[in-house]
Amino acid sequence: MTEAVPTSVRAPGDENLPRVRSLIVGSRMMLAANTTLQLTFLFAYLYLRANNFGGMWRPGVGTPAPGITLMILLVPVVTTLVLGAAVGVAGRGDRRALTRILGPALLLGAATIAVRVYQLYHTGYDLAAGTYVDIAVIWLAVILAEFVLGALWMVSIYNSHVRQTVVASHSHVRALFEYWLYATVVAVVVSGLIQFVT
Amino acid sequence: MAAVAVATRGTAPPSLSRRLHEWGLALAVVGAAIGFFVGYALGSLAIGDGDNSLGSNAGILLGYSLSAVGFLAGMGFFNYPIARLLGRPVPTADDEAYLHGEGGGLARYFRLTTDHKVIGMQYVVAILAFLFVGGLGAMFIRTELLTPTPTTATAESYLTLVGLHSTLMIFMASAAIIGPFGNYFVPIMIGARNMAFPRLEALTFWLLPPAGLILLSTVFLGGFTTGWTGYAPLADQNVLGMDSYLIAFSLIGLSIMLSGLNMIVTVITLRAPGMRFTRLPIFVWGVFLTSFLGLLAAPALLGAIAMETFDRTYLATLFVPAGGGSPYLWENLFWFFGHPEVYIFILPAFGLIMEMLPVFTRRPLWGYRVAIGGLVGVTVLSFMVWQHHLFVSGLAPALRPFYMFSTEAISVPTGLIYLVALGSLWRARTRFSTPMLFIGAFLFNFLIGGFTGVFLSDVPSDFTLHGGYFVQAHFHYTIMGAEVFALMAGLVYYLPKMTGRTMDTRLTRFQFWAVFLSFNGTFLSLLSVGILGMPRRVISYAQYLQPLNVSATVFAYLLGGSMLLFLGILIWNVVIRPVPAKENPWESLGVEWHLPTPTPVYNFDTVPTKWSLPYEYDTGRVAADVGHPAPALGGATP
Ligand SMILES: [Cu+2]
Repeated sequence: MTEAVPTSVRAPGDENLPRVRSLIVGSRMMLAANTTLQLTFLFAYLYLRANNFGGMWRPGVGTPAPGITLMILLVPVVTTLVLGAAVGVAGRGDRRALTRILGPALLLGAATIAVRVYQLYHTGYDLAAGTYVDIAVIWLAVILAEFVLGALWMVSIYNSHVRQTVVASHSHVRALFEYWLYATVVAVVVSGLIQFVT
Repeated sequence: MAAVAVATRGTAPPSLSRRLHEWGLALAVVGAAIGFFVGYALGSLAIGDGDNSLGSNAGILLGYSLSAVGFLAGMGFFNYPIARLLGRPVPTADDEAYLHGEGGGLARYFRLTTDHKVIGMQYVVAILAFLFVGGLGAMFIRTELLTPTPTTATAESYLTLVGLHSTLMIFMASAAIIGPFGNYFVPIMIGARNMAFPRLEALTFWLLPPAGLILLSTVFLGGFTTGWTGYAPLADQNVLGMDSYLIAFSLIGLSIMLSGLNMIVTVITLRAPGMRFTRLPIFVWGVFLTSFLGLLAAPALLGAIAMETFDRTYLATLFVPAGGGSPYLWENLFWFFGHPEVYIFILPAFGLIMEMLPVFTRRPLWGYRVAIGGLVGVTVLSFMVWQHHLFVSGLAPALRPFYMFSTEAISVPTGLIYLVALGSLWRARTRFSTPMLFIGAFLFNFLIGGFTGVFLSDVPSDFTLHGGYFVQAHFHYTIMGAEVFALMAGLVYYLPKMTGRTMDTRLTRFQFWAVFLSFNGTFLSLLSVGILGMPRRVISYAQYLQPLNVSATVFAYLLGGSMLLFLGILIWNVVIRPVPAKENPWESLGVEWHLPTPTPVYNFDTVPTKWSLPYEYDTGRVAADVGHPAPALGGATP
């Protein structure tokens, strides 16, 4: 009776297991839900900007320094690339190589959190400085939260893999990669918006 | 008790973690209390100096949030994620079986259990509890409105009363059909042995108690005056009671979203071999499509609430005109969620009604594919109509024609669903059992709800009807007259399967006529005061409206009484003096009725591989062969 509850994610080639399919479909569905969330903030941004009620959209506020923004964006982008490589390694089923690549990915994930926290607290904005700042800050905070979730996911894959409780399968790593890629694309687009569409 | 039963499966005595799990509900209460005080302290220290209004807002918001977290932690929801985070060994089959409540027993209903059937029963209780408390609010409202001037309440406390009634009922309605019947029957109907994400599914349920209690606690914090829509800038100006609304609604939003996720993935990945999309029972289609609404609409609510809490704690001005914000922004974001939300109420009810109809007409569902088309049409269109709530707001008049036509276009797919119902009934030798009576009332009430909706989708007539009792009666016809009637139909119909016990036929028949007549008496009165121009959410009204208001109140008391009667029959026949049910009392072909009662822990011993639609009453073929001696069908084609 109890074998009906599969309890571990198995090695490569497991895509047909219902549990793994559920993971993949489920994580993509979460990205779909996430899209609504991002559109909510995009709508708010563009709506407040277009209306500029009482001239209070961006009264005398500058944009973030582009150099710092680029540096901050670089970290999640590099993390995405490393995770992409991890997907390839996991596809080949090379467990040791996967361990070697997941470690740096984890460090980069932590670095992503660090730089984005820094960004949130060093915008140079005064919170009473109009709705541009308001919407930018809360949007960046939401994106930070998504990176935190992604990093936690990375930690769980890494720890289970290293402790050999769950072998990180191809589909597992790919779902994480897709999530991180999505968050990174959002981060880049939103940074571009805050920088150029002011 | 159950733990002992399970522990005997292995060799070890119950472990500490299982003992803690047994006490989950008690730990959850402790966790909630600790969470609240920690959050309150952190929030008021971090943001304010403890006594300014910003600081106490942050304190309350963080207190509520952490109390919800503490509650869930006590229930044991973080054990699994934390174990995964640390890379600990995955739960053994034995652990999973324990969590699934394999050992049986009453205790599994009071703790985190991953069996979708247990969760379905938990939802039955929660939905009825929300309905009861929300209904009490309705009785208070009607009592106050017996007279044209304030008697029992002040103008402000009356608004809180209306807000509590409406928000609780919205919470109830968000899960009234999917919660009990979706969770219980969708896996069975698609031939699955469990949900795709059973822990998430349990979470969607256990988010409800903290949400309900946090919302009710608003009375200690001065209440909130916005009603369930939380409009800014009133929401920005409100006292601390507003924070209860924000946190409670975000918990419900999360529950709606995760429930959608779980259902979608379950239907996509866990259908039995041979269970094609074209063989899905229509109820499963209703739940499946509704789940997309929940998954894709709820995040807009969560985003908007995040912005509102930002306004209330950090002096942001996203919704405050003086600071460059706009109340219109809230209204747009809220209704982008809010309109799909009303279809989250009604689509599963449509599905349930169409699922039950063939059982009583003893004929195949007429136009199965037409019905799917109707459901898909409503789902897609419901994302494109939200600004019909803002016709009189002064916002973007140029957009009104579009939203008028898109809203009116929804009557086309809705009409298809009606066509299917009517086609199924046409010249059928219908058996008028109690559920069928409720189905008939559903169709009648929803017809009035739908027709009155057309007047509200029409811009010129909306200008005179908006904000009045016509609107109020309209949505009560759809939500109570349709969805809650579908809930009652579903309970009378499915409780024999879910509990092995049945509600008394004579009593439920009497209750049906009582609730049907008193419901229509109440809301036809209110429809009339609406046409006469009585505004909603106002404690006093013009003298000439009193007779109709008295009529509405008297009928409302009868309505309340007949709802209590339903609850009474249910509790008496199912809990206190159980009346054993026949195995397949309605002689359905649905697979759920051909499993043993109570349904086995993992539903199927062997998953059937040959499936057909459960509506073939012309041939009498059961939807799938489950290897259980089929209960006799007394003449499939009467
Ligand atoms: Cu609407």
